[in-house]
Amino acid sequence: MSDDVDVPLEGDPTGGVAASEALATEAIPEAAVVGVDASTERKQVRKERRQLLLRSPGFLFGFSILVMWVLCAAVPSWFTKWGDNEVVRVDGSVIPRVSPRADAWFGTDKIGNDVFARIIYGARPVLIVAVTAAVLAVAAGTLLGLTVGYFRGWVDEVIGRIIEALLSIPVILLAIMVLTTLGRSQTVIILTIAVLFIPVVTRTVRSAVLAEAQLDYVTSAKLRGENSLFVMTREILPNVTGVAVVELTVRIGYAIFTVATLSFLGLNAGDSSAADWGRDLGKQYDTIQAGQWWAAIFPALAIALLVIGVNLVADSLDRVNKS
Amino acid sequence: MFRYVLRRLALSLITLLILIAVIFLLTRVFPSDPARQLAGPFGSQERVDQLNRDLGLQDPMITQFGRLLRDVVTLDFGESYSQPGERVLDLIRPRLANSAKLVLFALILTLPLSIVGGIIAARKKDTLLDRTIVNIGLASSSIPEFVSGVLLQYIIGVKLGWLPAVTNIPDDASLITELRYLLLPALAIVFVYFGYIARITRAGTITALDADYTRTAYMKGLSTRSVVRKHVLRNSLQPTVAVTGTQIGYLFGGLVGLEVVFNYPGLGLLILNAATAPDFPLLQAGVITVAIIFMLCTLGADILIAYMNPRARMNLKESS
Repeated sequence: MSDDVDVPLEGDPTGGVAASEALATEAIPEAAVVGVDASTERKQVRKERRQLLLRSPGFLFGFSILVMWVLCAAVPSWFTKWGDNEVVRVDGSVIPRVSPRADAWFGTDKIGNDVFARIIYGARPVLIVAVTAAVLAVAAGTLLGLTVGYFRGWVDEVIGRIIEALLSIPVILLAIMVLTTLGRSQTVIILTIAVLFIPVVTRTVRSAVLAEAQLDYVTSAKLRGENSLFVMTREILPNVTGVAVVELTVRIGYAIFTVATLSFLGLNAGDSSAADWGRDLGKQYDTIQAGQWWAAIFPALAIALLVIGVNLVADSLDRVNKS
Repeated sequence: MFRYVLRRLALSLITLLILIAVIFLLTRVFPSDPARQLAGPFGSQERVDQLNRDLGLQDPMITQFGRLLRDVVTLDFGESYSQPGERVLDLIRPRLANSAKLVLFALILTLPLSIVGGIIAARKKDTLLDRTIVNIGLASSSIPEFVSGVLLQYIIGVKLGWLPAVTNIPDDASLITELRYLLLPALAIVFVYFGYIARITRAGTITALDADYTRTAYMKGLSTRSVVRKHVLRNSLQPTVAVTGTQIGYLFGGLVGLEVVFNYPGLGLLILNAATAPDFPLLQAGVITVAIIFMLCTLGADILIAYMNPRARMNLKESS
């Protein structure tokens, strides 16, 4: 029954093209003798996919957004003369709540921080937490999905049930519960998000592995007498890497979503005055009612822009992977 | 069909049982001393011991888990920690009703819009219209709902002043007034779900339009209209039904941020407050309520799909 629900979400993870390509490159290593060089063919496929990506306006747009935010996270001082926590002073006096103007592009917030500087500095914490969490989740989920998808059996059944149970509660609620009982530190937040994302990654990779495991190249590897570890890591894994990469970008998007939500709700770690989009939005959105929109709207737009960028890239990778 | 429903129900119950175990472990196993919290930092040790005995917090884990299961079956979760004297169930009931109102209203707005959008995109596949619908959907559905909530609140609620910016609904409000208050948060949900559901519908419709049975229907000489209505929709909407079923479950408890922005007393806000208090009985009961709703919605969706497509009934037998 869970499979009924899976189908629309995952669509067709490995199309017939991928299957025949897999046959060409994996099942017949002697192909070179026959005349078709397997590795050049694979290079050719990669090159075509790269060109397809570079021609897609969605990918280029999304990718430029990401490059911009990564630059902000890496070297914020290139973009603003203010520190994230530095109170803006004009002629020695603090100027809180000024609307956007020439010397403060995005205005200043309640305390007198430059909103533009906080947007620039806010890219780092969200990117570090979200990307680390997503990488951990995809690594663990791929390993788990590969194992249960290859061996099947009762372990697969049991893990499948647990995954389904965990997926029936919004991630944000489970995160709130874990952070309340375990306390909040950056490590706990990263691990919580990573653990909560493992079920969905496992499910995606598992169904891709199931599709691959039925194909002839896997059967022939087994008939050659290769051991399970070899078949899993050298035969199947390369053919589900595309799915895992798409899953990674999608998970980074959701991780940003989750990190921003947790910070917005005040459930984040660290120095409470440091720049953080979610937290800034949470602290400043009440000023909207008074017409002072800039301190809340700019962090909101920053979150939106980053997530849109990641999703555009994820979507283009997915389409190229399936084509 | 009856056997299918029974089997499906049994599977749901197993899932729910696992989930309750997870929730139990999360709130009980990790070090925390609820009795000390209840007694307060200056409460005497005797008071803490007394509370521990009363609440059965020192019983073996398995006894405590059994008690939680009994609570779920009888729907009696005892008293709240943070609001002494209040039954947990009485605190949950009005919040559940509020969440239901918002979710229902948002769905009534989202579903027709996104299903029609998805079908149009599929019929005009690869045209400018299709790409516009898909890309707007992708962009809007990737923005967290509290972010779109804040943006809508500012633009429509404050700047234009068309709709109330927070949902402090007066007690004697008529249905129309109430809906006016709910429209902004509901629009924020439409924003998130339009793209998602439209994309699923589009994918389902494209598959159905390409299918053999559609070609056969055309070759029988049926009009486009009747092919779409009788053959395509019945199949193409199945993924949409499945996804809507799971999403309703998420909408009931997952809108914590949105409820904070609009100060709307739904289940999400209740769970957040229970977590920060902390009020473990209320927290457990709140999350379990969301889980039960999710179970009922997916169950409903699967039964509807089985009704639409007899083959789905067979699949369950094979897969389990």
